[in-house]
Order: sequence, then structure tokens, then C-alpha cells
Amino acid sequence: MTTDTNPQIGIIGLGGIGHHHAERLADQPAELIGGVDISADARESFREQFGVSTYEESDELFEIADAVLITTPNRFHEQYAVDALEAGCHVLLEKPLAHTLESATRIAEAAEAAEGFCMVGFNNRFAAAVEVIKQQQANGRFGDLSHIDANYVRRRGIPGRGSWFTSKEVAGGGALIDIGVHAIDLALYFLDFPEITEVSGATRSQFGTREEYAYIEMWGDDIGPDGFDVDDSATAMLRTESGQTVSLDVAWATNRPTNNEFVLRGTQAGARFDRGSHELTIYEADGTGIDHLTDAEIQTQAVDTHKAELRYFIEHVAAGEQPDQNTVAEGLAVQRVIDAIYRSSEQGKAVSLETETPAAIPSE
Amino acid sequence: MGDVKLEAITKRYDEVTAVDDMNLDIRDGEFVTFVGPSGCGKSTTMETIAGLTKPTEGKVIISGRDVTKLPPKDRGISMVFQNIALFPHMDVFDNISFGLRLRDYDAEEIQRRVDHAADVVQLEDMQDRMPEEMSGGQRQRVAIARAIVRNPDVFLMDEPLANLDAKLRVHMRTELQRLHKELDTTIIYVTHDQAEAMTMSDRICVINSGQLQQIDPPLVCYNEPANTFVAGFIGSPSMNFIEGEITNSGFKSEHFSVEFDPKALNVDLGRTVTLGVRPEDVYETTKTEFVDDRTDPISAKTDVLEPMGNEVFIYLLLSEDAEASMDAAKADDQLLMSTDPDSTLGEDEQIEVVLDRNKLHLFDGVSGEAITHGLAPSTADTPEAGTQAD
Repeated sequence: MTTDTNPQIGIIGLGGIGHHHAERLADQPAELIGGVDISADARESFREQFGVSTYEESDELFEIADAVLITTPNRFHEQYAVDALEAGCHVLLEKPLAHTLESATRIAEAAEAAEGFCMVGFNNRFAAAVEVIKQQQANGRFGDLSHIDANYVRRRGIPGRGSWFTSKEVAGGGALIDIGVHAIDLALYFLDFPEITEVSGATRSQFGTREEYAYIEMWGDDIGPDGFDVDDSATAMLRTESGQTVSLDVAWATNRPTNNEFVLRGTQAGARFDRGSHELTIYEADGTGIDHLTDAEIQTQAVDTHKAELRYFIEHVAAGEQPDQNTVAEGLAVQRVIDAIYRSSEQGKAVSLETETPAAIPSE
Repeated sequence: MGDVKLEAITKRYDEVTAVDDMNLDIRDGEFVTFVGPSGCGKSTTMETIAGLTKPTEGKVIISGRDVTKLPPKDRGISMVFQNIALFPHMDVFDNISFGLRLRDYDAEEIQRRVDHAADVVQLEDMQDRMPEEMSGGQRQRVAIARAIVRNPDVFLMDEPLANLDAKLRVHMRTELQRLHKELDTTIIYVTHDQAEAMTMSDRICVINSGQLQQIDPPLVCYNEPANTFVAGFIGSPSMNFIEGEITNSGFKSEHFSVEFDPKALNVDLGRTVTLGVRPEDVYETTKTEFVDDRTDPISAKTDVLEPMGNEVFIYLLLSEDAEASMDAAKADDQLLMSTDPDSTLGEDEQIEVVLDRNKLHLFDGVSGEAITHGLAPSTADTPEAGTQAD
């Protein structure tokens, strides 16, 4: 049951993901108090469904909210996040942090200077299997991690062409920035966010650009290739300061089976986690008795990761404490990798991040 | 108070030591520039001062306070980065005042500080402009104004001009010097551009492989470099280096010798040394009227000529089989000479050159540390009687 002392939460950006979060707020010790969208239709439908005030301008919401969820298209993250932080609100910002590295850096700077905090919506962190992996890693079960395979590959799954997702100007990129962001985040999270020193990558636009793009389902309306100027797949290799590697494969569309697999290779044990099915297996070898191999299948509860993420956010808002994870510094580290992959693809060669000054990354 | 002290700062990543036992003492009001090649540790050192990176060992002391464990916002510093970090949805006033508004300053104080900062960077009439309506230089001035309004003890500037075109960069160099004079606040400035370092700084801090090489006024770094690294890094084009050894009569290399008394310099016979000479201290024998004390003539053949307008760079080959290399400064059989623009020398001409003995540098051949800058006057009876290389 909620009370008046529960955090007062507003949502900015009342599209699909805004509704998705609003529905999940219902079970939380928090009060949904309003929404903001520049579209009158979006405001009306949100008002009708959730029975709260909606506004065209965010200032009015900032005056009454303790915290806001920002679920706008990527390009508008910065203005709402920065203004919310300035107004003293805490922020949960949907991934990616921003549409460009520069914009992400400015958000990070604002968050560093503000009293409120900014958390980034990497919801996959809250999958039970991911929590098991992190704890087993902390216990030393894997030894030293040397390599991660990070896959987020759809066979067919380009969002409606003509939506903001397929516009470089608004989204900042395509498959890589939309879903690759999750794969990069999880890989870096498993490795405890090491310094990335080199990135080599390629991005492609091979399906969204076709008139005859064949698919079974599509999210949103499709106006065809005229509404598509972003990448629909990306492959990359990342190298860390201590020589660890990450192999990344991302696609909205490919001619291969769907792949949601994350494989961790450690010196003592390895693991395979399927982000889609939440299956987790740990692979070990032992010489007790006779040399043998062990595949341990880990069963966990199915968790609604968005709901778990919201709970974590609200707990920290209520306590007025900076979250330890999904921080803006982590969001910025992921954004640097995305930016480096796009640059590497454009230049046709590996790019070194070693000698670059990281933009103002708050270390706290 | 805006003095900055680094006490034995070391920053190690797993296998890499980015900053190695750095000790620095920067005085209140100084303009100090960190220079060095990419990856030398200058930015990491700056980040350590800023609090963006925590040192593995050592202390950072700002204005007498140990700030090693404090977050950036509590260190009394303001930072300006090369990425022009203005909020695109805010006008100049809102961009400059952002930090003050976050800290709930009252409106009058905010207006007063913004007016002053805008005045300092000469943007008084542009407070309602949006960033997209401004040039790169104007935007960078807004970023500097944003740093000014916080009244920091220390400004940290990391390559703030790197994204500007060459002409604007030179202009902004002057602007920053004027700003420094006006504010009288400590500025620590990172650049890989040694021309920026030479022109703006009270002192230059040369860093290589995470280690402090020298911290001195620009001309001291230029005229009395502490080692071959500083000698090679400061000055463009680079100083010529010639490997050789100490003999009874001085320095001997494969292609020429320089006479001096090794005892006077307290160097052992047979010691491997590097002779350093800047291109402007190499003269044609016909143009030595301003050189009081010169070496014996050295035979050379002109190779490539680079007319720069105000001077000409001439690549000289010291032996028949010498091949022109990109890095003439480091080749023992080549010398780079800078001469006046009306030189009539052409390519492939056999000439003789001398070196200004007062401007010669000797470095230890192994450690690279400086042994002496300028050689005592030649003791030979006549300048021509010296040993010509075989």
C-alpha cells in the first residue's frame, strides 16, 4: 500500500515504454503523480489510463516530483535529464544515456554536480541469473574472467521504419545503440567496468534499407526504407587495459537464428547465460576422484527486470542515496564504446581509447 | 590561495603505470602547462588533480587541504575540456549559470557573477544566444565563463583549444593569457602542442612515460633541457642528436669532432654521450659573423630544402652513403640546419657548416641526462687546427 510519504514520481515521454513503466509503478511504494509529453494525444491517453495530470512542459512536473523517469526518444534525454537534475529531482533515464557521446558527457557532468542522482535503465542487470553470476564472480568461482561473448541478435526485428528508432538524428544510431547497448552494458558489468583500450567494429545497414524486407512481425508502422538511415547490425571486438576481450554481436535483422547468449570464460569456471530464456549454466572441471567436467544448471525465479529496476530506483529515491549500480558513469562508459564502434566502422580500422582523455567521468 | 601540490602520486592500472611517483609544487597564480606525447600520463595527472581518477598512491593537496579523497565538486577547482560541453537546449546565460543554479545561489548573485564572467570572456551581449548560433571560439569562451563563475582556486584545462582551427587556436592562446592576467588564478593546462606550452606558461611541466622530466620556465626547458627527451620534445623542428664518445680532446662522432677539455666537465674518457644542437645553431661557414665561438668546419652535402617563408630548413648529409631519413634529428649522419630565407643554397651542394659551441648540449649516452649546456671556449690555437672527421 502506498502512502503520502512515498516518493512522488513523474514520467516524461508517454509512449510505449512510458506506459510500460507506469504500469509497473502501480505495485511499488511510490506515487505516480503526472506525465509530460509534447504530443496532446499521448497526454490524453496517459491521463485516461492512469488518472494523473499531464503536462506539455516539464517544469510543472519538476515542482511536484521527487523523481522522474525519462522515456523520451534518445535525442531528448539530455534536456529533460539536465533540467530535472537542476530542479533537484532524481532521474531514471531509459537506456542509452544519450544519442551521442557528447550529450551523454554533458548529462554525466550535470549529474555529478547535482544533488539528485541519475540512474540508467539497464534493466537486464536485474535478471536473477545475472545476480547469480555477479555473486559467484565475487566469490571467485570463475577465477579471472578473460573473455565474454555478448550477443543480442534478432533474426527479424527492425522497429517500424519511420519511427524515431530508425532515425539517426533522433536515436543516434540503430541496432547498436538500441539493443547493442544492453549487450555492451552486461559484458562490461560482468568484467567490473574495466578501462576499454581498443575497439574494432563494423556496423551494417543491409535489411532496413530494402524495399522487399521480409518479416513476420514488426513493432510499429512501417513506411519502408525511406524511414531508415541507421545500422541494423554490428559486430565488434573490445580489448580492456588488462587484455581481457569482449566479442560483440548485435542485430535487428540477420539471416541466422536469434541469439541472446552471453558466455563468460574464466580461469576457474565459465558460464552461459541466455538473456531471453534466463537459462544459466556454469561449466567447471575437477580432478577429484577422476578428471571430470561439470555442467551446473542454475534455476532461478523469473524476474520482471523493469519492475526490479524500478524497485531499486525507488528505494534509493526514498533513502536519498546514490545507487551503486546503473550509475551515470557506467552509462557513459557504455556510450564511449558505442561511439568507438561507430568510429571504428567509419574509419575501417581499430580505434584506440587509451590515449584519449575520458570526458568528465564522475568517479564517485 | 590556489597552490597545488602532488606528493608521490602514482597511478597504476593492472600492468601499466600511467603516473609514476610524481611530485609537483605549483604556486598560487601560476600558469603551468603539462606537455608530453600521447599517453605520457599528462591527462591522468590532471584527472588526479581534478578528482576524476583516484591515485593508487600519493596525495593531492590544493590550497593547503588534502583533497585526495574528495569528489571533484569539493576541491575548489573548475574544469574546461576540449569537448565543448555546452547544453544545446540552454542559452548562454543558462549555460554559464547552470552550476550556480544547482547550488541555489540567489538570482542577484547569479546575475552579478554571470555578467562579470561574460565580460571577462567578452561575450557581454550574447547572453541570450543559443550555442548553435555561435562559432566554435565563442562556444569555448562560454565554457570558460562557466568555469569562471565558480570562483575556483584552480582552473584545470585539458586541451581546451584542440577542437578549434589553427587560426582561432592562436587567437585563443592570447585570450587565455589575458584571462590569466585578469583573474590571477592558478591555471593548470594540458596540451600536446608545445607551441601552446611555450607561449602561455609561467612554467612547463614535461612528462614522459608517467614521469616528470622537467618543470621550468619555457626558455629554461628550451635552453637547458634536463635530458634528451625534453631536448627533443621542446622545440620544432627537433634538436639534432649525434651519438659519440668522450676522447682526450673532447667529443668524437663518426663524422665530426668537437674539442673541449673533458676534465673540465668531469666526464670519463670513453663515455658514450649524445651531442645535441638545435637547427638554428648550425651555420654555414660563410655566415658565422654572429657566432663568437664555433666548432671546426664540418663537411656536408645539402639534401632536401624546406622553405618556410621566414626561414629555410636544410637537411644536411654528413657522409656519402647517408640516406635522407624522415627523422633527421636522430640520425648520426644527418643534421638539420635552419637558415635565413634569402639563402641561395640549392639541393646537392657540397658545403661546410659550423656549430655554435655556446649552444651545444651534451647528454649522457645511456641515461640521456644533461651533462652540460654550452661548451667552454675552445682551447685550440686556431679554430681551423681542430680535428676534422676522417
